[in-house]
Amino acid sequence: METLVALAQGALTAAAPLNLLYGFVGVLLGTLVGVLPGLGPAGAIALLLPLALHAPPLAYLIMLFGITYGAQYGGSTTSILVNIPGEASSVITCLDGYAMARQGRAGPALGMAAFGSFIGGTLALFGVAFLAPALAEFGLHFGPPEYAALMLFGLTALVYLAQGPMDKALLMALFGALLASIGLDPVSGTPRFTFDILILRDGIGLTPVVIGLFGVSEVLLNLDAKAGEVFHSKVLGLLPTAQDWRDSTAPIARGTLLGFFIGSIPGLNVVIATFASYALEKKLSKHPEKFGKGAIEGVAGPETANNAASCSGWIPLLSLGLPTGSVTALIFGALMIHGLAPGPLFITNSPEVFWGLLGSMIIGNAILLVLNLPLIGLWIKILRIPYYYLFPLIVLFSIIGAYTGSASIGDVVITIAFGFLGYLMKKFAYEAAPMVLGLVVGPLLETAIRRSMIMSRGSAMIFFNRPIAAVFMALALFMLLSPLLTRRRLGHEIIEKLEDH
Amino acid sequence: MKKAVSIPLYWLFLASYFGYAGYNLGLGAGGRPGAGFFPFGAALAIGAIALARLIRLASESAIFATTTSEWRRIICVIVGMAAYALLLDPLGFALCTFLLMAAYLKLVAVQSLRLSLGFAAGVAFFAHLFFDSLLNAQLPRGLLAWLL
Repeated sequence: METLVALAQGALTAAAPLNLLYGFVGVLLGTLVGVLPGLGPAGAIALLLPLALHAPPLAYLIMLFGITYGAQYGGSTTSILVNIPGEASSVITCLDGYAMARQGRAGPALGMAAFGSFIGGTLALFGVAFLAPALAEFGLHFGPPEYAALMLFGLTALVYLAQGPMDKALLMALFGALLASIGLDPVSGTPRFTFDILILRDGIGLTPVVIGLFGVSEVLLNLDAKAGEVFHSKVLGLLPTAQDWRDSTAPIARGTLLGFFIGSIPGLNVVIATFASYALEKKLSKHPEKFGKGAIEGVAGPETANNAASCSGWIPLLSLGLPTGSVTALIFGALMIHGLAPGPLFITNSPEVFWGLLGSMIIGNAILLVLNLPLIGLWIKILRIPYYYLFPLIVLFSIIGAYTGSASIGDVVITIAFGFLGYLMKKFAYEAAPMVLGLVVGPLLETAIRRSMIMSRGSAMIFFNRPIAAVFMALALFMLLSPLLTRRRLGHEIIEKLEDH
Repeated sequence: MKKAVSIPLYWLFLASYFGYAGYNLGLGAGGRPGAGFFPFGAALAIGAIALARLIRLASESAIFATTTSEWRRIICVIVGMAAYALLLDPLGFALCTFLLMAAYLKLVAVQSLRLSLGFAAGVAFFAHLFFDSLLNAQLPRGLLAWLL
């Protein structure tokens, strides 16, 4: 009951005019970046990070959260209408969503995707509201060794579930941690790797790096992109029929549970939730042969699962301070900019922010449901905009984003450098997410390891003697070493399917 | 087609530098790790993985499919950004934005001069209105300070 009251109060806070405006802008921007292939939610959040200095903390965070779940809604629109997923989490929707569109049932497909997303997202939020405070209370027992082990576990989980080879992802995570060590040593204040360059004394900022990696590099990759060929028939009848609802009710329920469970585990992400949901629905269906040919269950299940996972993905960050991917790492950075340290004390110290954010997601999901269906015509028009009008604007926003954060040309230079590096990384199939996570948790990990070593007078056994730390270390070691022995990674079939797509 | 080993070699070079520099910063004693302890450890791990990749990929080739025209466009975009960064203070935000947008549309997107100039003027005007007038972002006004 206490939780529900807090959630209701959070919704009231989020409904304040300024918060509502930022939330509205967030979900609208999220849908837009979800619709546009190329610039994802990480890129959009990266471009908006410098705004943190000017905007009120809660309103600003509400906007960033809105971008993340708004993108899930937008991604499905392009999957259904163009057969091009705006987001990786909408890849699976292409199979049955586009098939439905070709049969003249684009409307019910879009409608069911929106309703499923709304139901999955909203129910998952209640799960977050009940689970996150309990997990945070557990996190209060953590000392430096537990934190170090938890962060190592988070990094390893992301590496284990990376799309490409594990060693490449591990290299990126370590490279991110190395970059994080540039600047003044957090313990002794000794300058490290600064080459007497002034801007490097404060370290390499998260903002210019992520703007380069997610904004500029996408531009460089997509310079030859043409506007998508959009489904031309008029989209009619967005409301699903009674039969559609009968077919979709169970997949929506299962998608919610599956998405919530998968999203809340560090390392497992939204994409895996959608593939798992699709596989489950196909297995349970009386007509598995219809999947891939326009089965509405193939849209309802995964679209519900991706929003549920997108919501429950906040649990490790908000309750333990553990970012689990590039988007949560960026939000971690945004919280730090406002002096809000994510971790077990976050909910206790900043209840208005925590409950306000959860409340905003309930309102945001409702806005998206009301907003998205009537705006489908607008999204179709936006999809037809040639890329040569979009890329100069993305470059401009990238430069402004990098410059206004510190009013320094040096940060623009860092953005350019990481933009080109990001381009090369994508060409050579190196993922950016482990690097960003390494950059974000690097300083915290270093401090936790060094404090642990001081506590134990130099014995690394401190990470194995304490039960909680030992569990995280055992999981991390299992994920690092088991592929060497078995040449297999659990759940990797799903990731490989995604690569084939 | 290039030999795939070139990438692990870059990693090895990076690991060697950070490892050496980390060692020089001081690893500290066991109970009191020094400033170089963490970067040295990370560099050591990078070196080990790079070495393993180097051995495994010794006979393979890396495919890096980028055409000449693609490279030309990429270089144009990067040079444009670098020039923007250099000229932002002396020329100011509005003028720099106009020049960058016009250059991109004319040289990278290969559109007509009229369309490029019109698009650039529109973007520069609205960007100035939004970021300078509305958001009060601290952007240099440069040559047009007397007008804006």
